[in-house]
Amino acid sequence: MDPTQFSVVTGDKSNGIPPTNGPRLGSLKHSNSQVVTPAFMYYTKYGSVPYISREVFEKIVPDDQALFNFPLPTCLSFYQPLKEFKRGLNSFVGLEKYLSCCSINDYAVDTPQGYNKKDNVAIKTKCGNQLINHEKYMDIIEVFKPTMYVTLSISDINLDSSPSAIEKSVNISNRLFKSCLERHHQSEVLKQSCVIAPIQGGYNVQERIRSAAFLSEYHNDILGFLFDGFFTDGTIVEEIPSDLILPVIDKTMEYLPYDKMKIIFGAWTPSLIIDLINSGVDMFDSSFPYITTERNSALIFDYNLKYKNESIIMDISNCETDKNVDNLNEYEICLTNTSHFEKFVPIKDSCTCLTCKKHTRSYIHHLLVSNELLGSILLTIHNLHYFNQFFKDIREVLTNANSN
Amino acid sequence: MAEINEEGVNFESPYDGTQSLLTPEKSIQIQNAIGADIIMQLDDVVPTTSKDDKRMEEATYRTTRWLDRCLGAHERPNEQNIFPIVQGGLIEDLRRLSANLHLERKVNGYAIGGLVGGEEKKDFWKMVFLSTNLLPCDKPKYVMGVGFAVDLVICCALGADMFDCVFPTRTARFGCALISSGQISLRRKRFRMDFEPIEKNCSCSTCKTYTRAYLHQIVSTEAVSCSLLSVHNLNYQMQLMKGIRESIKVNKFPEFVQEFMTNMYPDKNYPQWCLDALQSVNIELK
Ligand SMILES: [Zn+2]
Ligand SMILES: [Zn+2]
Repeated sequence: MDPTQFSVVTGDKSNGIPPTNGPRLGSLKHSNSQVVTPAFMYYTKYGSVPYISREVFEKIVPDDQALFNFPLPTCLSFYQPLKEFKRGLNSFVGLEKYLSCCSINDYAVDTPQGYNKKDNVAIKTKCGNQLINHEKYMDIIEVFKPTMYVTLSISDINLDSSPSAIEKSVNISNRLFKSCLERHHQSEVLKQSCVIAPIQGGYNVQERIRSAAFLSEYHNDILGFLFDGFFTDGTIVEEIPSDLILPVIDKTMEYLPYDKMKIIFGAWTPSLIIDLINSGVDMFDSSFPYITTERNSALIFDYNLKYKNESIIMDISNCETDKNVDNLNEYEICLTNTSHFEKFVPIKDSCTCLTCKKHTRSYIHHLLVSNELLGSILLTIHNLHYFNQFFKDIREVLTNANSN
Repeated sequence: MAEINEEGVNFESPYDGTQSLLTPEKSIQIQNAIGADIIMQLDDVVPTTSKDDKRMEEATYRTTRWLDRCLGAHERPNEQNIFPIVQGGLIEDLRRLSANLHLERKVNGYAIGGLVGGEEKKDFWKMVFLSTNLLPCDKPKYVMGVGFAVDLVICCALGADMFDCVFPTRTARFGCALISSGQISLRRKRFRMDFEPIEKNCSCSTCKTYTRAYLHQIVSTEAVSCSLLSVHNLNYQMQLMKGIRESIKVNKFPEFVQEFMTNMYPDKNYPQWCLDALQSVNIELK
């Protein structure tokens, strides 16, 4: 069995001119699985999508084509049992038939900075911080046997980080990357796993380029690149202004090989996701619908996607959000709001998810205010379905643009 | 939290903390709106451990008075069935009185209430048996609050027909899984390296996929564990009740009880109350 392959399906105008980094369709293949990009990884906590078991997940995503992200902070405690279990992380958590990616950070929660010590990376678990060096990390990865994994890195960088902290994170992360890659090449069990290289550098373009240029030299050894180190607190990602991050992404992209998968994690808004796709990013995660669910909200935004001037353009037209002042943003409604107390309509009329087919806002409101678990389960079903549909629509626009 | 008088029960509203009075009429009005097939009368419950016999007597009579008010307020008698609740605590005369008073009302089934409140098992089973003996054979009898598998089997032996699934789902939320030899708390460290399903040969979707070791990892932190354990525990209880029904159909209920008790108590250290209860219906354990 070959390890995972990524290839760009469209975007390349292939008329002699080198491809530019616009929006593109890609394909991630591993034995019988194929994930078409732009796509997102399903965010997990302790090996499960929050609130829903795999049995329910199968009803939301009926085809078996899905990629799960396992952040180390909630999976580290699996290391000891998995050493004895021997069949890898996917099998242990009941997600054997799917693709998996291990990452260092939990991008949907707040992580305090400053606990890393030299080349030891602090992993914040429920039993406190644990320092991991590259040897220990690779031991863990050998036991987890994921389809792909991000190499160990220092990424506790945010908008307020000092230039020296940023420089240090690039230096150490580059060093850790080399050490992990060496171990990877020596490892028999990791022949089936692929490496994702984390680009550091905060909001400093020069440092980003330095990181990207260094990692790109190893392009034959890696499946893709992760744009890492933009934030430490996962719950405020939506507030990061697009004009701060997009120029950094665009400039860095120029130094990365075109045909590799580009990943970014975190709860970016749908509008910024479109921008990032336009910049050539292929893969995201489901932090956004997760955080939406955590604040008892449901995604309801009406959008219209067009392809114009080699970019996707999204118009958001929401009639509902205009008249409801209590909305947090244009994408969602908060179902604990008393205005839903007697609303006997689905979350979203046009939605075909299990929740919208059977349940009313009034019922979900009631479940949420009485702290019933089922409330979050029903919201997760809707929000994941909605986010999934959003990406399906994006791919459709790109497919149509490609065939014209 | 709740204050009871002849009019009804005064609750503190879970929504806004205001006082709201639940009368028997109001309770039926709500249940008529919900539309369940079986609905419960509002009853006056005194803890079985109460030593106040006078209060118990008052509650027993009041429960019947409230039953009449409930029946009078019932607006969908052709679609929904009100079950009266037999009260009387652990006082035999009051239980008998309560059952007899309720027998005079025209209903399609009965509940036996006010038990499983911390009383001793030897008192519990006698009250169930007394009640099931007085209630008519051709109407379903629902024992409220009963949950442990042993209690379900013994109550069936004593003539009870129906229970609910409060226990299996509640105990699941605390990380407890029901198995043929009793129950296990998946929080315990000893499951950390246990790569078996909760129960071998269990047909539920949880046992088909997940090990005790994985459930141990998520049991106190992840909401998913409540779902996974609820699936198993509900399946367990459904299979148990199915086993009881199947054995009754083929006239092998005593054999079923024997097998069940052997699994629960492999060393044959049967609790005395079980032996006594079963003996009262002529089932002798080996
Ligand atoms: Zn929906
Ligand atoms: Zn099971």
